[in-house]
Amino acid sequence: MSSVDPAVVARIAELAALDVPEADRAAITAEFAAIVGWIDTLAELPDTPAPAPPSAALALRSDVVTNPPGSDLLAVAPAVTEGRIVVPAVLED
Amino acid sequence: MGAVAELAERLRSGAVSSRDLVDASLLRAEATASLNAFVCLDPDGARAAAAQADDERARGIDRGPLHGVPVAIKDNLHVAGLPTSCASRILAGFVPRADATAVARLRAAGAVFIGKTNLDEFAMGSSTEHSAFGPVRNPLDEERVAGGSSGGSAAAVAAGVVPVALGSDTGGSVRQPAAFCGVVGLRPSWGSVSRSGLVAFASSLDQVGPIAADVDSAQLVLEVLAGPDPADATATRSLGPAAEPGRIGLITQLADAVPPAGRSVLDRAVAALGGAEPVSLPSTRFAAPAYYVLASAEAASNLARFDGVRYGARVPEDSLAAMIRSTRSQGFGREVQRRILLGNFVLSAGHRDAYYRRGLAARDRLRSEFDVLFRRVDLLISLTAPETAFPVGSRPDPVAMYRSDLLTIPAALAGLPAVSVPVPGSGLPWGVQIMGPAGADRSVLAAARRLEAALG
Amino acid sequence: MSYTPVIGLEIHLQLATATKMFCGCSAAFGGGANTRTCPVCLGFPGALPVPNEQAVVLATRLALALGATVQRRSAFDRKSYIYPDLPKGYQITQQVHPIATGGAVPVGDRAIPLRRLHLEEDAGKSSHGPSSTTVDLNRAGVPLVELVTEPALRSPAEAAAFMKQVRRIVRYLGVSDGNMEQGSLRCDANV
Repeated sequence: MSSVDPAVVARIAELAALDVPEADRAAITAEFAAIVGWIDTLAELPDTPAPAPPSAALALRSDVVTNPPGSDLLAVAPAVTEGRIVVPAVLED
Repeated sequence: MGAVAELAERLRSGAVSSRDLVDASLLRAEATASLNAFVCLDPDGARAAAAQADDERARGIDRGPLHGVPVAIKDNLHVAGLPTSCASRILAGFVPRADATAVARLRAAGAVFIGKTNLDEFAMGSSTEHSAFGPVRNPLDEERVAGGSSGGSAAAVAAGVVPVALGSDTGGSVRQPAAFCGVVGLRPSWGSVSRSGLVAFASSLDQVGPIAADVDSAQLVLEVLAGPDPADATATRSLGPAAEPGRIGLITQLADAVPPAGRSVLDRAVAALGGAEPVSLPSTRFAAPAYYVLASAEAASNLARFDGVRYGARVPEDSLAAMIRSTRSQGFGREVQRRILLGNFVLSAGHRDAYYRRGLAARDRLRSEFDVLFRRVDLLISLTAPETAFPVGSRPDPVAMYRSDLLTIPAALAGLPAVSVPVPGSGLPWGVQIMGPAGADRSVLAAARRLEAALG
Repeated sequence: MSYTPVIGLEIHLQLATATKMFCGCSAAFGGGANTRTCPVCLGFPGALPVPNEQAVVLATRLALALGATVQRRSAFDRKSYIYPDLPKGYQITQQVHPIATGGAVPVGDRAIPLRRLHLEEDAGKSSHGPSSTTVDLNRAGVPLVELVTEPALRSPAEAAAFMKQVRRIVRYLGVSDGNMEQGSLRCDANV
């Protein structure tokens, strides 16, 4: 039903923010194609309309501040300066 | 009397102290270290908690049957002050400040946590061979897998390290390892146990559940865990009372999918329960593909937060995009990356209707078909897995691994309670699975108890 | 030949709640960087969003005031993209089943029709430097209502008048303080 070639894998890898190293590309593509071939079983189902909203209602929360000021971040963040998280520059490539 | 109840009696009578139990547990963990069931042990914390439990007991405080009992927690559930790894390199250094709600409830009941158990990375797998810290071995035969993804918890219980452990079940990850290791595994109704503090894999499918030496002990833990939680807006499913024994249905499509050796085990179990009528679940053949589509889609979304920005192992690069890509590519194992790719694929424009929407449709069909069945029968029975524990390294093909989940997936897709009860035999154990309608966990457990007694 | 501009607006209002959309952190403006955060709005593993009841009340109040149809069942969706000030790698919004549809905002002698009104969460703030970017997540998770108009505005002047009217309405209703300087009222235009 769907063709899975290295171009498709490359595009999906970009969406997924994952590298697919050149050396692994063929193996990963073949594996991916096999998985997609298997899930193609679903093609036997007819086209479906948009799903209805889920039936079980979510429990809501009352609007009261429960979290004290402070941060859970500092204990685990890789790079923080003056309380702000630091990351490499957002360069458009 | 179950293992936990027996320990409770010995603790109450003073025959044994919590310190004794914890020491024995830690010794046993050490003696069975080759199983690789634990990612980390916490001897200091456990001994301190045991001392506190003994102290409370001496002062007349009784928190219930779990008071002072050693317990192990799957390493995708937060235990305050201990690292949560999800068996992944990408979470290196992540230490939660608060317990997961399920863990907090066990702690309030006096349970003593001896450590975090090994799992397939981010709970994605059916054998616990996809851990960054090596596979878990089956206590009954160390050349074989313990099942997955809660392999560490199942092995810890089967090896006698702890009488109960927490696991998580998304497509069978509590039930199947329990079956492979010869112990009991319960998947509660979706929405009945809080998922707050469980690292999400597939939110609409994940459920926290106990693995235990026996049905009574599993039920004890369920009663402590279940109930609404302000930290989980979806934990709104209440559990009904145990119903009188009723009619049991045997799903023919699931029964037909197992080899003769398994079929005779299933027949024995059915006979022990007084018989079952054959019933049909026509959409069975869509269940596993639908599950892998939906679970992967949700996983791709739930794992998007692992980017090295706010926590975990960060791979330094010059640009943000490169940093995120490198962090994820080096931090996630092969199976996790496979699922993230699959999830992005089935959600992408041009494929969403073909896969994701059809996956949802298949799920709706299964739910309706189960509803129809539960008007005719009260419970359903099948095997838990179409096989016993297979050798480590013998199943490298992902699709072959995915297919083997076919018996546990339907209940997960429909949010139904399901328990695996071990059937002892001459060789490796098989598991028999009992399922019920949403909310009927206590009825499912009552039937499981009857089966356990009849087979024991 | 002359052209008549056809303008549609997307307005984001920060709701006047005490807490964020999905957690009990304060939604107040300002504060030391990352001090109004918790595992939920930081996108820590294991944290779950729990919707703010008052946000639903305020969104409903606004919808009713604008004559929109309030949906008895609405749901949250995830809008996925990767950016450092979006902690979960997705924004929780309402794409398929918004809380309200239709309605109109009176501007002058016209009633500018609305397409929809929905709830969503705000992102944090990034500050870009030459070699690094810093992120403050205090604003991440603040409740927003997004108002989408039909492409029915005919001039920049009318669009400005529309914004003023929306600001008047939300302030009067106590739904938002409509403060453009502090970012509690923002606007994107499609021309």
